[in-house]
Amino acid sequence: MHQGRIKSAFKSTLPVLFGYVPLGMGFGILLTGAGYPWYLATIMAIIMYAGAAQYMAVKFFTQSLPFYEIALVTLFVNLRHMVYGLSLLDDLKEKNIFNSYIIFGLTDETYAILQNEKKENYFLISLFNQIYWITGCTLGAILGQFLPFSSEGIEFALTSLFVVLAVDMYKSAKSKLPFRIALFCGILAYFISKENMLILSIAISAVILLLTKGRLENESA
Amino acid sequence: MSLHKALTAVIIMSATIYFLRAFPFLFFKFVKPPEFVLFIGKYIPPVIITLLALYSIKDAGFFAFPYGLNEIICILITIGLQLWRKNALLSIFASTAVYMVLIQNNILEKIFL
Repeated sequence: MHQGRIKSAFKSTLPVLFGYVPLGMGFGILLTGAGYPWYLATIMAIIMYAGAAQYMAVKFFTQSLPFYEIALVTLFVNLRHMVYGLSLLDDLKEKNIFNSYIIFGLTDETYAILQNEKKENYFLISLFNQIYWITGCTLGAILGQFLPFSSEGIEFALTSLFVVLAVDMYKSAKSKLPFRIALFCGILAYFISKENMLILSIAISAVILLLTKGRLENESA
Repeated sequence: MSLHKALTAVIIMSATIYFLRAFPFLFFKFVKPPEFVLFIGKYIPPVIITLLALYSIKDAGFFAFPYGLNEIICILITIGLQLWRKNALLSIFASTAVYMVLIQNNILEKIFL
């Protein structure tokens, strides 16, 4: 594969590295702290590959929740992922192993980065992000609490990443309405239910987007 | 839960998550996506990215000192740097470094309390 592409994918995903490694480590520490072997963290990072869901899984394990309940809660917490594919239907319509992997790896962060990327970079970006995640989860599970320095707050890199992506999109967007809708719905959903704020705000935003269709299409034309 | 049961739970959760991520692709392969779905798909990315930014600071504790000020200050730094220098890595690393310094040393507390 072209070396320039590897470099460019690495550069685009570097902020994710700084977010995923500490977050993954936090998960690894939690899981081994609950009495499970370190390799379970690696397995989960490889086949599950989801931040919030992996953290929740530890709680499921220790509480011995029944499987149907585990499936239901997982379904609800990750419902937002159903929406992500909608913007990539066309880009990923061809059926091949690369596209299947990209769909598998559609985390919040990967989805966000792909919006500003060319199609040919999708695969490497998805792969790099998962490698960071696997590394973080495994390191945390093996090293546990023996950290040489305090990395408290380093996860802010992910907040910052979303902000940078939003700023870049804002500048190039013909209509600023989607951003205003998001701010409004995000704050509204925060006050309705902080824990379910994401899926709630996405749902309300989608409805408002449809209601303002005429204006959006006018401004974007 | 035994390791064996935990592994089963992991497989159930993984299948659920992959199903959700793949659902739109599976579903709209057989059904032609209606116009409103394509419309949402086209206009929702900036909405979701903005919402993810907001969601990521939901636990900042806005109703007690420091009222989420650490997060707000560092987001403003990110926005300012990104508009000024247009260098994503710089914006992200500088704001994250400031954030880490602020919360590890309780700087706002020392200034205001």
